[in-house]
Amino acid sequence: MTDHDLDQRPTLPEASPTDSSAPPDADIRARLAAHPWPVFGAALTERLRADAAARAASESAAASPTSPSGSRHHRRATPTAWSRREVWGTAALALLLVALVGLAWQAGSMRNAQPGPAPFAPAATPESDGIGQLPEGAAVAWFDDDGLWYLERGGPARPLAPGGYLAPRISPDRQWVAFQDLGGTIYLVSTAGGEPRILLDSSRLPVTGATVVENGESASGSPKVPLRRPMRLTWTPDSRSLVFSSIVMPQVDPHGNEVDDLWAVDLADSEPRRLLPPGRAAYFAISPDGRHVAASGSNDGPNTNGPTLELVDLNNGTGHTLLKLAPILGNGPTSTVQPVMPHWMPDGQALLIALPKVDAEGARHAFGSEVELVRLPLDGAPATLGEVVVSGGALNGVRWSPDGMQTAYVVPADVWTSATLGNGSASAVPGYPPPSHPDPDMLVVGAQDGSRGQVVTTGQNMVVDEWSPGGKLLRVRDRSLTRPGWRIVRLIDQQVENLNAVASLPVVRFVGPRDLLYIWAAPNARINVHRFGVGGSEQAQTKSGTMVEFDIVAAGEVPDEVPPATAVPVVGMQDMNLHATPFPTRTIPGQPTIVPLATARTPEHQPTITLVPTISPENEIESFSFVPGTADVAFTVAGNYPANPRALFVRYMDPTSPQSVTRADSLAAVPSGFSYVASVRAGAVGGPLFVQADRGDFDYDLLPVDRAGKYGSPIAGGRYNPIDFAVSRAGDRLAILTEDGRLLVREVASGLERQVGDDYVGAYGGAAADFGFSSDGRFLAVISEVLASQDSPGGYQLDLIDAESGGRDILVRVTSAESSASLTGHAFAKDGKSIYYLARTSAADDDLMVVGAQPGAKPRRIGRVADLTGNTEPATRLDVLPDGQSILVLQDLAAIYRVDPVAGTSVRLTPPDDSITIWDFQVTTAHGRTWLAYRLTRSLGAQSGRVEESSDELLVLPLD
Amino acid sequence: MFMTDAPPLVDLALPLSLSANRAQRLAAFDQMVLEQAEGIARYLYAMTGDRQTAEDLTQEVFLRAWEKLDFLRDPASARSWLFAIAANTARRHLRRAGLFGWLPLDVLRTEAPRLLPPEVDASAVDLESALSTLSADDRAVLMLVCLEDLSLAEAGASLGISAEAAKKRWQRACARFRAALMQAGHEVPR
Repeated sequence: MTDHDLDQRPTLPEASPTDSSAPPDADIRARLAAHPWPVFGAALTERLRADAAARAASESAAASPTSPSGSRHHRRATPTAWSRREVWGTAALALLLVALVGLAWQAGSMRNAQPGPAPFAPAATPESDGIGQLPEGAAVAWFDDDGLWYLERGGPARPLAPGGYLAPRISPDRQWVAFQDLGGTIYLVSTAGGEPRILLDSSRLPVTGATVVENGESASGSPKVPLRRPMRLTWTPDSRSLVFSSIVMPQVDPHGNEVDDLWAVDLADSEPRRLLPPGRAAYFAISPDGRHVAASGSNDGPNTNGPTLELVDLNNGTGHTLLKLAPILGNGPTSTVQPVMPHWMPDGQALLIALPKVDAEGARHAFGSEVELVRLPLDGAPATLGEVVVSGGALNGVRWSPDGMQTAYVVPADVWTSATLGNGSASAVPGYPPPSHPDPDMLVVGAQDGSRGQVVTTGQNMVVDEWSPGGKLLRVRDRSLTRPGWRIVRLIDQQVENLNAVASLPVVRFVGPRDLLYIWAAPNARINVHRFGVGGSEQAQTKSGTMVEFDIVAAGEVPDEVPPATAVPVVGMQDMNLHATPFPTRTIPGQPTIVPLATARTPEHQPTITLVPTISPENEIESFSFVPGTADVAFTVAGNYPANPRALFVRYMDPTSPQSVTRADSLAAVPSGFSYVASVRAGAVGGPLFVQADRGDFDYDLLPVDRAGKYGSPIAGGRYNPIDFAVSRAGDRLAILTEDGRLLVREVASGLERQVGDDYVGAYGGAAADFGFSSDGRFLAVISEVLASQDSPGGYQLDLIDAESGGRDILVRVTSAESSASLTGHAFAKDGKSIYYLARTSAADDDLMVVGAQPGAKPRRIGRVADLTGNTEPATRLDVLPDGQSILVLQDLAAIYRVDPVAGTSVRLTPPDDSITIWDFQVTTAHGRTWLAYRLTRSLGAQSGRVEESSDELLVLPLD
Repeated sequence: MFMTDAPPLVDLALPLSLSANRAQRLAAFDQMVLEQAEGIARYLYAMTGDRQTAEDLTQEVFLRAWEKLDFLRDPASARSWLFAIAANTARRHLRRAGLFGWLPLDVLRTEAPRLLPPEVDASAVDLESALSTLSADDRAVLMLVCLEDLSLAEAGASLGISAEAAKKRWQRACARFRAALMQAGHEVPR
């Protein structure tokens, strides 16, 4: 076959609408207008209006002055200029709320002469729980209304004691469960059964160094009412003793402070031993070898001193002060000062602590948003590891992983971005904070010293609650008004692999080296657990206050709800994931021939290699991309039936084996928490692919996925809705178009984002932009819609954006009062110095244009697609072949042409076929040749029982 | 019969804009419901073939519209914007329900006279059955352009495709619709 003259365009079945003065669809319009459509009427209208009014009322209620965005606005404006008084005030308010909740709980307990069912108050403190478990996940104990239940993994749940108590703690040797009542008594019960016994009546504990106020009058000696409450009951590793702090309630302290002291009680003699005086032990941690306790309190009674960190020898009670902080400035209860939370290194030889930085006067006060991470050896001088900035100045916001090698902390987004950029100015970061989340926090995971931090998720008012014992999971509490609850973040090999939310659960606890997740749920709670990496979610509903256990790492082996006093049903998890589903193809007559590549030749209508011959009409191929460095093609399938595969697939090309040119494989399932994978793009050779996945309702996120099909963490994280994106050729940079018309450039390695445009939104609320990187990734070419205004008609423009500086130049703008002006495709020249594009300025005139990639360059017309094709449909896609000279053009959604503007020739690469609509194509170079892949929809005509089915195909054509 | 030319929303421009307060926006949204609900419901009926489903989806469309109101930069294009939401809603529904298969035309033709009450015009059944033979994509563009009177650019924007692709679909949908009508015994212009 010879070259075609592109004037020979395929004949359309219908006359052109411009051929007649009457609309070509006038007959259809008339029929449809005359049709007696159902009238929905006022009933539907009223329903919709009522909905809107209800939503407006709901939004008004939510937009109260106490919302996080309102109350924290000042901090965003000047993140580094917090006065201590502001910090103190905020902290005081927060802690006052916690204290009030605690007091209310305590007061409620006082009214009950007999211990009743433990009130479930998850908002109070994490300690006010009814669940306890062993670190290795071997056993769990919990209270409900019926009793204390004890469960060893794989065994039945057994009742050990009556209900109505709290804080069950299993001894490491699994011989005992300790628990307490609301009055302060500590009980002990054998896991083998038998009656519980009182280990310690905490009302017996002496209250020294404080004045006891009883019945409104001062008194001395032990109070008759339980003014103490044991807290943080903890077994020593040898199971021979319990250590606990004890709150001395404000009634006792003349300064109105709630202070803590530290005690130990041995099982052997039930005799309490005071380890530290009041005020020294709000938090404590027992060393892994059980020899020491490191403890820190807020004060030592009078409000003149700052917190200390004490080290106590558990065997003989001796100890000394490791460090002492200066008090914060200002007046007020010193209980608002947060103590240091020590973390033991696994060898027990050193502590890791977070301390406020030394201020200009050389003092290290008890509060500060700039925090030093310090390694404190038991027998040496402290060494500063690094510095971080934490949200709200909360020292306790820094949490080390169990092995001490990772940190997790929460940073205000603006501070983080500013610090990362190193310019110290939040205002220099366009786009932060995003309008949808005006004052976000970022959860950062870094190395032991806080360095190499990675943002793993964002939220509002977040607190790091706990690392899982294996260091693979993080539990984070989100205290935002709009989405309160707990989130679980999964980390693999110190890399963030995935993020999922476990929302609105009362208590979530990690257990075991395999990072089991136990969930203690309130009665009739509905639980949603999004599984990691496999898509879908699990749901369970408790029938009563009970526990649900999920193994969120290992597939299968997921016990269902644990009914009291029955065997634990270990059921196989229904496989919710869609990965590894064989890709069903349907053969149609005329199965394409696999062409031996050794003999394959172009030009002209060389038979193509069919990657996806024809998929069932219920599926759509939504997007595809060559895998860099290969001729393999990754593509996404959106199934129209739920049971059909909706995932990311890849077809591998093997040019050395002509008889098996392709083989199919699924690459990755729909990521967890998403409903389907919409599109895929690739950048670097060997680098990750990037996919756009839909959370539902067209709320997208972007995720990297490696060659093993493992997803990385979502990029947008709910901060914006990425409706389109592009990847630089090196794979190091993303351009992301958000639903609200912003264009962001994101550095893949650092996660830094720059906003390079905010007006890329079309007239219909959706994006009207087509954009891509230059080969070096430095520049972006963006075609966008120009909205009509009073001053000018609408049209399109081609922008050149410096991806690093954000500078933008309008290279071309075409407008037309007839709304026929358009720019429809673009491609950088091989050297990046010019940009090819297609322009239409009238109804029958498509021009192939080129313009220099610099401001003020004059566009040149180098071809007329109208001359070539007859121009029923504008050319819509353009690319430059590796030879730097030939240009591929998708014309009429029906054919791909190779055009040589210099020689003035063109070749039609795809065979004429009226039954196909070609939507997209892509070119790559691999295995020493050039490959063209294109995606089309083929009309299958009438099938039995159905009319006009169509199906998608994906084809590859070697071009040389 | 009804009017396909819905009034433009020029007078809603200010209240729908971001500068308007919530009460103003609610009032403007109210007006949008009054003016557009019928067309949206009609479109969704044509897409789903079920009145109750159409009503439910219409509710979903306006819920989505309320949530996304801030993204409506140009209030004058609110109608196209609403249809874009409706098109997405319909597509999602069809995906979810797996409703891309349709009753065969001949079944409808043979069964309709027996099933329909006498007051219902059989030609109406023909038209809807002819519509049902089109793919969802074809039906969508046909309804938007030929019934709801959106321009090809607006229809393309509503369906998330280019104006060129919308034009192509529209041409093919017209041809297929005519063929289906002919098959049902109707005369159509050539």
